[in-house]
Amino acid sequence: MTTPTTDPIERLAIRTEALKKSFHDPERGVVEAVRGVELGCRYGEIYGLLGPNGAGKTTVLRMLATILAPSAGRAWIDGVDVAADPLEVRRRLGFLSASTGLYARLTPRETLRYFGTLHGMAKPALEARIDELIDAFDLSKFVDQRCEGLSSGQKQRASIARAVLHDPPVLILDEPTTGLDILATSDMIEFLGSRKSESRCVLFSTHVLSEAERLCDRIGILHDGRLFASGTLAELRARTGKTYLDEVFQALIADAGAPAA
Amino acid sequence: MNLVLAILRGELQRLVRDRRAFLMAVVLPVVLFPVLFVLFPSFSRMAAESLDEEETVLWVQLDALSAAESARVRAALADTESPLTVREDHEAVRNVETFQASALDPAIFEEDCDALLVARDGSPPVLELVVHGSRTRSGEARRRVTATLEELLATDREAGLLATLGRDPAAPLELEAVDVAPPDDSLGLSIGRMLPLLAIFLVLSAGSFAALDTFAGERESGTLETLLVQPVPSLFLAWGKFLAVATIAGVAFLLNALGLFACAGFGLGEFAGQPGAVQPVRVLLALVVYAPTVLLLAGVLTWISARARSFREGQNLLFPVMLAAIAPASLATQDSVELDFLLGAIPIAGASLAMRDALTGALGFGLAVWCLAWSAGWALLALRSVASALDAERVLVARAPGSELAGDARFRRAVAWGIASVLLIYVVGGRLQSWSLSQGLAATLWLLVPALAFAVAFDLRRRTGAGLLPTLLGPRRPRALHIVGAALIAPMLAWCAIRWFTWQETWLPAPEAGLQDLASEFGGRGWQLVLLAVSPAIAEELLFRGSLLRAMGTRRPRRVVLWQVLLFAAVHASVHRFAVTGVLGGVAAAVALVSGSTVPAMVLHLVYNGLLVGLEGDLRDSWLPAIVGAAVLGVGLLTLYRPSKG
Repeated sequence: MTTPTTDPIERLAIRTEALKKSFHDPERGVVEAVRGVELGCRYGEIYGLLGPNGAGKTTVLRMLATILAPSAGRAWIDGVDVAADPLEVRRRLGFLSASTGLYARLTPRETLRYFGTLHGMAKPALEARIDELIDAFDLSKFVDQRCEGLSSGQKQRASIARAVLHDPPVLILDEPTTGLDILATSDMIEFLGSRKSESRCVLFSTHVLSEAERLCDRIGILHDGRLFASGTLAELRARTGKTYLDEVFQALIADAGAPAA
Repeated sequence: MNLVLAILRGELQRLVRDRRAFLMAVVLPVVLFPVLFVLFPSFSRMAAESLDEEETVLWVQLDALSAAESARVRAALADTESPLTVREDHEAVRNVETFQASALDPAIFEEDCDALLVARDGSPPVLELVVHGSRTRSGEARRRVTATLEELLATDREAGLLATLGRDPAAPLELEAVDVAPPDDSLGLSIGRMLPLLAIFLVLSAGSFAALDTFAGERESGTLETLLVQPVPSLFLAWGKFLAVATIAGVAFLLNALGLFACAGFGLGEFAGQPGAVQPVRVLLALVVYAPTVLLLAGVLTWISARARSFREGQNLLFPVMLAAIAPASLATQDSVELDFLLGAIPIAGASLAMRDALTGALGFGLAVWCLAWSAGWALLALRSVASALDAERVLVARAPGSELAGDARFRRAVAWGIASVLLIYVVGGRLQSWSLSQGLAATLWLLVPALAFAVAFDLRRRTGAGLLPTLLGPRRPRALHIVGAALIAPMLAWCAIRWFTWQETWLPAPEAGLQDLASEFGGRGWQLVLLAVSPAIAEELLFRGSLLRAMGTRRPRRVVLWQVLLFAAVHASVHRFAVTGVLGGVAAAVALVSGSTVPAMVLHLVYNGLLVGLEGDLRDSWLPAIVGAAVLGVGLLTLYRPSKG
């Protein structure tokens, strides 16, 4: 729907600059959840954000999705500053949170209609797009059943359809395979591959190393709010001298001086 | 606007599919009055009829009566239409001389006995009816025997009076009241008494369910985060959700009103014998004057539920709102409460009374406009708060596990301390004052309240490292101008308090002693001032505007002031002084927040109580210009010389 910009500075689909986020915690006082993250994701790339629980992955993704305002630093989605024009960012973004985010008492078709309306899609175009997504994600068997009665895999497929309804150039997924069975996970992985082939950018967080190893063009290791390693798997292997991603991850976490989750 | 409507449609689509929402918004309002008026009375009638048919056994011992009297009593008892079996010679009452009802074995009522009727010697003779009050049949026997004997005695009395005097000297006149009110006025009054109170219940229950589902429910299910990432301003989201809540609440109200009018039309329950219809113009006017109140309630429900972390927490937060809303609505049930311009300005109360008067045709144009304007004003205030209901950062982050804002946790802890302090003062202070009013009050103010203030301050120091003195007395040294400003405001507050008490007396008479009456119990004027002005000013301010206010923090001053109002009003444990002490608490909190010190609040409290005690409430109206002038100057001094931040 939106063509990627050709400006060399804004050519990255996702870019962050010294991104920081602090919270106040009743027990610990001020907690720096994200400390100066510099991130860049290209179009046609799948970028995996890896890190133990509490590393700051969700906070980074929420800042990119304009849900949270950065305490410091800047971020751009498809060339649009998340702080300056959050509504425009949301138009260019598909977001899938750890929960499926489906309304239990609506059917997948009604859900798609609802979110399509919120995206300002005209009715004929919206209906055509919904039919397209029903075919693409094989929703036809349950598209008119209420979401509360769907299996976790069916819910996830409906959620993905909802996230890409407006065909965004950037897709952000927070732990998208959490709670899914093998078949549903496989569907998700297949979907992410398809987005890459359509020159879309996919940024997803996970702590399942095998998924990252199999899918990601580049990987960022986030720990304690800092992104202290980023690159292709080959680059990370070369940096640590390890072969497998779990070993690479362990070595990088150990370098950071903290146990892996 | 299209986006707001799209959100409204989506919300309603989900809500109407929820059985619980449908039940609360549609089924309950429709069936409530028919159930109240038809089913419950029917059940109750059936139960009464069933009891009427039940045989009850009465044992009599009438030896102390003359033969003629005994025969008349027996004959009257035998003539009752209810099945009452009269038996004689029960072993428990064979010896009347030694019989004592209090020594009777209650087990006799388990057998073939529901009541005993024992005649005792005397002038006149006494008939003692012994029953077992907790047994239904025994109670029924009492009702039957009492009714029969009272009728017998009344007949005897009347016959005797007529025979000797020709008429009853105790009833020199007969009173007959004739109501010439048109039937639709009477019907309107009957409906107007009921509708405001029941409407509050239904609007709040249906609206709170919708509000919780659209905010806390969405947060729990994880859909709120998805919604917040859509290209829709959060204001539109909040408005769409608010309109859904208002729609559900409005539908519940309309259906409820419809149910009541239908019952009236069919002459059911309360309306038996006067079936009819209220004039449509009156109905329309009643609905119009009440409509802003539905919006106000929907706004409050939206605002509160947007702050709840979960459905359950939302329910807990909404419960006090429901209780608070019932009190002003219940004024409409009191015939003695008349709508005036002051009551008309009070949220819910004004609209409830206006609705009642509209239905009876007694609502004048001026008062109707006045009430509507005030209700609309209150509703607009609530709508303003809706605009900030969906601040994504606060809604999601402040509520996410482990990422709670320190201020919120600190505030909740401070409120918990406040509630605990109020309860402790109730229990311990109340006990002390029940032993000796003056010494108990002194012990409460000099020991208990300061001890609580120090406990809160110690807790705050342990958690945040705050110093004890800055907590108790405020973080800044008091400025002389702030102290003078606070002292200048106090006379205005005292004048308002006195006028409020005078007005309140017209609709809520105070059975208890006022401050001045209380003062008279404490001996000399000097001792009164020490105990009722100086001591509260120091002790209460140390606790409320010192420790508790500092523990609450200053991040959200309106919330702090609101809780100060509630806690300070609550600690005085008096419905009659609730408003006045609440206002004092709120103003003192505002003074402490503005000045950054507890001392000006102490001075305000001292002058205020001192005026009420020292002048015994005699603040004359002729002083009003000076009092207003002083208050304006005081506010100016407090607000113009504000301490810089940092």
